[in-house]
Amino acid sequence: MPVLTPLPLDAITDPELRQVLAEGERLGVPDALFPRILALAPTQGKALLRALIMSHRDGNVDHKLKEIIRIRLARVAGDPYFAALRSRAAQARGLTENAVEAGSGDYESSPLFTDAEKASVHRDRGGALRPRGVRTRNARGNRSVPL
Amino acid sequence: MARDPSSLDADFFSELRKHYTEEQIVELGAFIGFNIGYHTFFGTLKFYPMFSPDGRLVSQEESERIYGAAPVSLTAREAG
Repeated sequence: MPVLTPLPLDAITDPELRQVLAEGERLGVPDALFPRILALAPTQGKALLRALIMSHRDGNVDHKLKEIIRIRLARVAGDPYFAALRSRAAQARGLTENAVEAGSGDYESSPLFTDAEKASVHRDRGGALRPRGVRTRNARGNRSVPL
Repeated sequence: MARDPSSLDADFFSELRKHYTEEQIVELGAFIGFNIGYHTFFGTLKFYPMFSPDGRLVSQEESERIYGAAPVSLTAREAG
């Protein structure tokens, strides 16, 4: 059982919290459990959820790359909840478990990464700032395409 | 950033600028720093996804059995 008892869904009445909860449900990250725990401290919880969803979903960096980074960081921290969740939006854009595993695993021997990407992942050692993100090679040869 | 922030030196950022705009570098840095923080806290709370990989609503006990008490640890992988 969770160390902290999540609030029941019907106990969350704050409309903004319910709105961000619904957005998380649509994206798949987080599912409803995480907001129910954050709702124990609703003011901080709303701010954290807003920032979490905005930083993951929005911006100018590929969402699939962020998802790979997010899962890697969850694994580094030993966070079973977020390591297991997957963004539906990233999956809809082509994110595969092979790419997730490559991002968290033996990227140095993975054909999913270019040499430059492997070098930058190696330097980072935290699965983080990776130039041009993870790319994969298409069936016609070596032209890489963004994940 | 997660495990060896001292390796992110000036050369690293110079290399990064070849591929990313400064706006993107900040976006990634903020995203990563944010994730490091809340994963560290929430990793201690012992909770698991509400759904199985095939979409079934499952109990926390079943979810723990499905996903494991801890994710496949990168540290353990590297140690092995």
